Amino acid sequence: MEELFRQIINFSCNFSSLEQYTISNTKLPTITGLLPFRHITVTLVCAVIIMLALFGCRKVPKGFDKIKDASEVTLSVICMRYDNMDNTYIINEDSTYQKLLVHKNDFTSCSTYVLPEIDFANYTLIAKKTSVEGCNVKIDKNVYVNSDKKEYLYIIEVDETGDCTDLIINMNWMTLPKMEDDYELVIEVK
Amino acid sequence: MSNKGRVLVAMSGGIDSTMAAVMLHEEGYEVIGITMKTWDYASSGGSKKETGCCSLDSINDAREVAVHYGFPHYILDIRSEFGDAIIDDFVSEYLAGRTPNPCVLCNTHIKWTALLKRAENLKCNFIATGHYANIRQENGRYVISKGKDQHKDQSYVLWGISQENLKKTIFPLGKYVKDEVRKMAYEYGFKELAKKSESYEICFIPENDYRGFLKNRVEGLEEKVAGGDFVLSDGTTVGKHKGYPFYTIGQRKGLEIAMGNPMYVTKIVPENNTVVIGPKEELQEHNMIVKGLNLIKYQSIESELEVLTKIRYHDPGTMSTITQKGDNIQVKFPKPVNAIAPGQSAVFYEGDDIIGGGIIQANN
Repeated sequence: MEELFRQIINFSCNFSSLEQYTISNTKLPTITGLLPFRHITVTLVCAVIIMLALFGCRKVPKGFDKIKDASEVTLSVICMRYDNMDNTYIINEDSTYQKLLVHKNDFTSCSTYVLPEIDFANYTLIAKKTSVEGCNVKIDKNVYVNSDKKEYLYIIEVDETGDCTDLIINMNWMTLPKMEDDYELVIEVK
Repeated sequence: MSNKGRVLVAMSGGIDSTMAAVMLHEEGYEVIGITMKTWDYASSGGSKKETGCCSLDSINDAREVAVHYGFPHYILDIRSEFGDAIIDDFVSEYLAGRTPNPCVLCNTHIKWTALLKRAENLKCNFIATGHYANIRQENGRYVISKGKDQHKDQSYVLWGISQENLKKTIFPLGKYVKDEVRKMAYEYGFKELAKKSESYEICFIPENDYRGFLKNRVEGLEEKVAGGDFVLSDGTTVGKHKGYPFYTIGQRKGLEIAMGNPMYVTKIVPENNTVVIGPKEELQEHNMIVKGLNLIKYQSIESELEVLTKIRYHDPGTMSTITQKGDNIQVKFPKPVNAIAPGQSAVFYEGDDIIGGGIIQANN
């Protein structure tokens, strides 16, 4: 994130420098006196526009709060075949989790493969298989909670670009703080 | 030798064949890699550099993986077999006004034969390639079926392989989708390989310019064939073309003739250097004859059979009725199909299984 901010500031600074250069080229002495103020304004406006472009469109669904402690889990693609896995998982115990190993590849290097450790006392593992066609697929995953509706909402936003039709499959594993028993999980793939 | 056996894997240096070799190694086979040198790009003329399947870089990429996993890797020079059988056929087919498919011919007559011969010398039990297709034994036959990845399925180019050759063949990628294979390559640390773009060109045709290749290969071809007639189906001459070998059935672009509505090449007549053009409707056919039949799933086709027929690589296929007459197949399409090109392969499917295939001889 720091790097992103640094880039935004750099970009803004460069942009304002360009602006400043253009103004000085006009040789209008009356405007030159306003340059320091204009410099700051242009920088701020650009930074706000870029921030809005980056973060403004990602709306939190009404009535929901984003679960910040949700994080992605990566299972080895080499060792874990997902073609026969279910489309959706909600796993609350380690014993159920370990059953995923029936999908383990019969590869020499996978004989010692163990699933990433998950603290099931405090976390729940969820997954949703997505299958899209495209060249470059970016997937953004977020989990939200609505205490009034007693509902979790897992939104998977798939952004694909390019003309090719490669089939791209992902399981979208995600952990979140232990799900409440009486809550429902709704999954939306956009 | 490992208890799974020794396997000779054809490694082009691309991601698919590399991962096929890695997977077999991981499954406990004793892998021997082999890269077939089929062609010198310099011989194609006009090419900038060697790329794709035939390049020195690709051979080195294959060798690097073999070294990494500690299995032997050999380079097999089959330029002369390839040149005689594939390239000469490619040229003569175009000169006969047909549209050849050198990949099919290469698999049928060169690749498998060459691999099996070396496999025997190296005491290998199997050969393997990185094709996206599956193979299984059923009713005493070795049946090829479509790969799990319907977008990358390559079963179409495998119809010509004999039962004897299929017996020893493994396609490790058949049960994977390409994306999985790419992700696996990345996870194995072959990051550059995972990003490597796919080569769709015929390896001896630089930049897919088959016309340039023909001109370079056949001395004086342009002069010999230039100035033939473009005619309509009723025989009316409507212009001059650049030479019949430079056109293919169904071609619309590059005709350089203005008729007020889109015109397509519907027929090529090499005997009088004529190219017949017409509107799209004239490309549609209900029947075709397929020769050089190789049956995969069944030993013979006793009666009329309803199958899905593919008439080119990316053709999704059309339902049809086939009847075997000796070495030929008569194909009837209830709904017309576009641009049946003599010289291309027709492959017959029953579900995902290949029944067999052959070369399209005539479209009526």
